[in-house]
Amino acid sequence: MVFKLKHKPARGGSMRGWPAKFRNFFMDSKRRRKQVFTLFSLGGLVFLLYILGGLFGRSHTSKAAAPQKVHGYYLNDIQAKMPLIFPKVQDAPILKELKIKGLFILRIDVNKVGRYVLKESEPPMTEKEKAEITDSKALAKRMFLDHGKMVYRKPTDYPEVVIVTLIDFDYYDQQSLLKIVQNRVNYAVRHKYGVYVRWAQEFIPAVQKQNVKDSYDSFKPLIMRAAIYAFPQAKYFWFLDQDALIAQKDISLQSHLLNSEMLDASILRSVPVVAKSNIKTYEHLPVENVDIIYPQTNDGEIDTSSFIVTPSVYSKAFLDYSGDPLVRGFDWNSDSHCIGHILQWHPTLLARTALVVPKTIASVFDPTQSTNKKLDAQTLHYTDGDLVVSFSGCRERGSCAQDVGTFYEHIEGNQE
Amino acid sequence: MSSSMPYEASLDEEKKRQFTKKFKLVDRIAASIIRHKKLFLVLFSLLFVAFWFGFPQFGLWSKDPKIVIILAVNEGGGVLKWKGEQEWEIERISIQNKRAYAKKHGYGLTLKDMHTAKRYSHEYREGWQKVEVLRQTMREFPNAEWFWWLDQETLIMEPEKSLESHIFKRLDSLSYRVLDEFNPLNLQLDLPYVDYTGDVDLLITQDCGGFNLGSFLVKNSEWSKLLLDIWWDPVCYEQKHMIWEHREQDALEALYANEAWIREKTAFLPLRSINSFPPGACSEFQGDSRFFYNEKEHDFVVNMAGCSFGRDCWGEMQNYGSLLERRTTRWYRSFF
Repeated sequence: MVFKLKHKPARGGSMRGWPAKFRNFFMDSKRRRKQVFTLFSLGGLVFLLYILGGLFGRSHTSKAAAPQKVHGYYLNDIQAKMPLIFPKVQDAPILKELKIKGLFILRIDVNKVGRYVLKESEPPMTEKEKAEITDSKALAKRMFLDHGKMVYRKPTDYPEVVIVTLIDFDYYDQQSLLKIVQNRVNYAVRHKYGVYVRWAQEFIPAVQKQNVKDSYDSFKPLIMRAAIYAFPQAKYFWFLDQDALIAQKDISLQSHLLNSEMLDASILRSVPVVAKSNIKTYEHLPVENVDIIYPQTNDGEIDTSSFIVTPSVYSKAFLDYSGDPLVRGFDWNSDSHCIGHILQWHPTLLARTALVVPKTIASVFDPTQSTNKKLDAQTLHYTDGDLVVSFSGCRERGSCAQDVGTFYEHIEGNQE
Repeated sequence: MSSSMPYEASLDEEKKRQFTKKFKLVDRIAASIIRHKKLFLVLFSLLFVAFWFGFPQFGLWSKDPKIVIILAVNEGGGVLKWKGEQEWEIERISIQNKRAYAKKHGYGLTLKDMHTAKRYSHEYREGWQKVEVLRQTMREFPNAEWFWWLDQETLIMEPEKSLESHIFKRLDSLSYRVLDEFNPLNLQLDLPYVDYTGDVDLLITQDCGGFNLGSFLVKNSEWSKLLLDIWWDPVCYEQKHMIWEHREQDALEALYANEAWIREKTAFLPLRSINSFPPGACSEFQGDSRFFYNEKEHDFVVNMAGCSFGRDCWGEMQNYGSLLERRTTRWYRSFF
């Protein structure tokens, strides 16, 4: 304390200058209060800004320039006038005569392996060119190659559902093909849906095993992807095999299955994905998460003859993946085996998939049973009143064309 | 004492006044503490516990990092061969480097143990570890926006550069999405249905032999989760495991080659932007300015890719470590 006193600066006298002023400045209680208040409020403001800045963290944008325009298998499009896109079925006999060899270019590589290829950049035939072609074979070929370029881009009255079918001119005769296509068109027109029918043979250049018999199943994801491209604003894409007819023309698919109550009731929850599998479908599957719908057959297998996808990232991933040549290159027993594997091994896709009861979109016609039997829980095969009659198994019986004929008469006769 | 005697009375008074003025506030606080001893003890204990054991989400400042660096450490983990002194040191330097970088820019850092495990030893399952670690990390940091995967043998050479300024802000000019200029795998350039208008969710680089996943960025998105789910499938792996030397890299290449949905979200960065090589990697392309670390051009990251295959990891790490030290040392450091 003594030392402190000694070293204490002298007060008053000549030393009274700025230090005193300085002290006075701070000692003046009114001014000081003002000073302190301003300082604190400034500090508080900065602090507040800091906190707020932390709350609204910067977001990292990840846009990069799009280098290319999206296109389908072909680089050029043809605008369709109607949402009903189907090939000229009358050409079936000519196409059958031309064979694959006559329709595509065969390219032989260095290993002497021949592959059919597609000229993606070929521009579509103009009306003038069309008029100039007199040879029916050449015209049919050009129409065949141009058919995949059809897209529907009208902004108004857009169809919500598109029915997708692959038709094979080698298997069915012209009359049966007409019935198959007409059946879908009639249904679509009634409910303002779209139709997207392509020749199965159109997809030959896109696959490894270049024949319809081996690759028909791998065409399914390809045609679905093409349909999503052709109908960019549609909400649902329904693949319906050529060996099936829509039997109830008055029921719309949306009221029958796609609305949330109906779908919720139809979903098979907590059942093995394929028979005897340990992996089960999700117990909790909200309807709004459903992007892929497959019926499960009565034996617990996945029925790939009729399925529905939405144009979401999940469906696109599912279609791209199930159409990947590497995945298809595996030695699958059946298409159902392949799809069953994908769903079992990829829970992210399974979480977007609804397996539904077959009666909804794939009632199988059983020739040994009566079709007008009263509906009860025990009836698993097709009975009158079901939306779809599927003839799966008709190829083994050899009765596909006959079944199509019989049911077509029945359906169209009933309702007209 | 004697010298102060004459002044004592008046000065004492003065001193007292000064003292009381000076210490009035402290006194008052101390007095109030003494009065509410128990309350302050509880308050202090609570603050103490919160500080040392508290949850980060309760903090005022702490928020989830928007970018999380995933550092793959302990590669091999001494399972198949001894982990020597040098390996430990490499790991230490690498972790130190990323930790300092993450701290500087406020990123998250998570270290992921990549030791050889039996579950990945089957020939169909090898290479699956990276994908599983990524999925696990995405669950761990649900609020992160981007994940930056880094292999152990990497060094961030320019810790001043933030990922925002170096990558994200100039993604438009830096990245490329069509492999027309550099396509070491000769992949098909154009696939149907690829829609490049959306956001980029995966940023990878290509080295002389194809895709390189030693340093890549993946966004925390639905798409990424789907990719991580699809990436590995025994059906593909079984057909290709003899050909796919680089495992998950080859699997991704195969997906990219054929599937539009993968392609439309993937963009490529030049190798030297996040993944420069030392001269030992891609050595057959000596002198190619696309691949190798260049000090003068301030390359961001050096990745001693494949240094454990017949090269000297420790030597390379030392070399780049001392270079980094030289570069980042400030002039005033020489004084103390």
